[in-house]
Amino acid sequence: MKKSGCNKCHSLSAKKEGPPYKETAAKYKGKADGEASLYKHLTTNPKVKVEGKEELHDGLKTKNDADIKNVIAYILSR
Amino acid sequence: MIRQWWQRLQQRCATCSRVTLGLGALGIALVVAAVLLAAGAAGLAWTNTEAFCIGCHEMRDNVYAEYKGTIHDKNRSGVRAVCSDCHVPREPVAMLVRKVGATFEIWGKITGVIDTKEKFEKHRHTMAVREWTRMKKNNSQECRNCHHFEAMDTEKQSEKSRTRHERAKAEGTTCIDCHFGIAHGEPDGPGPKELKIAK
Repeated sequence: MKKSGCNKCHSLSAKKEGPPYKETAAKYKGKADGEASLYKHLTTNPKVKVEGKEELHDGLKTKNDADIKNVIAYILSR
Repeated sequence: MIRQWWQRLQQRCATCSRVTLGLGALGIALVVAAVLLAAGAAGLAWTNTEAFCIGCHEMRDNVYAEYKGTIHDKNRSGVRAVCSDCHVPREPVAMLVRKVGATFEIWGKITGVIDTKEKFEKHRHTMAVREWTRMKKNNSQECRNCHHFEAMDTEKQSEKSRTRHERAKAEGTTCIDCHFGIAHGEPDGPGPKELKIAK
């Protein structure tokens, strides 16, 4: 996550440009498509709104499936 | 006490004039002051070293271990920012105030407030808020000792960085508002932006 620069916009629970990991976890935890939604979000550079402006969300730098799932597990465990 | 000492000095050197004795005493006082000043400066410089900061396990095993390998520790150019570069002001008065404040941390060391990993984690947010508050009050001066807004070549920044830095300039936010938790583990709780601090 450090290598992909996730923490530039997201933090554990504090306010930054992106939602905190805890907020994301609360949104997706326990949902049937939670993991799949996060997987898509982290690998397809979707458009996101930052301070009212649309920008592309940077994906994870790694293409390794196990690493990506590790990141998702980390976020969901917050 | 000074009068007694002066009288004793006059008795010892009955042939010396008051001016000679006065100059002699002034010379001694200046030498003593210079030695004390040099010792004080050396002491302050010593307490700014990385070795001093990680002299206790509370720092070495927690925040220092987290800092290792971060961009401020290891990077392409080999320029490092050690503990004091970020946490001790360079300006003499501000530095002395910080040093005096730091002496109170000795009490924490004696009483073992953060002497285990669990205790450290319990106090991490409180300690971070204290440091964020200090940095917000001085407009992240320790960051700005090296990173100057005016010297930033925005053309070399990514579009996202450029947009965010321009917004920070316009809104008057300070470095630590966004760049927190870059050298140490991030505490769980409200961040610097959520702190209501009068500058």
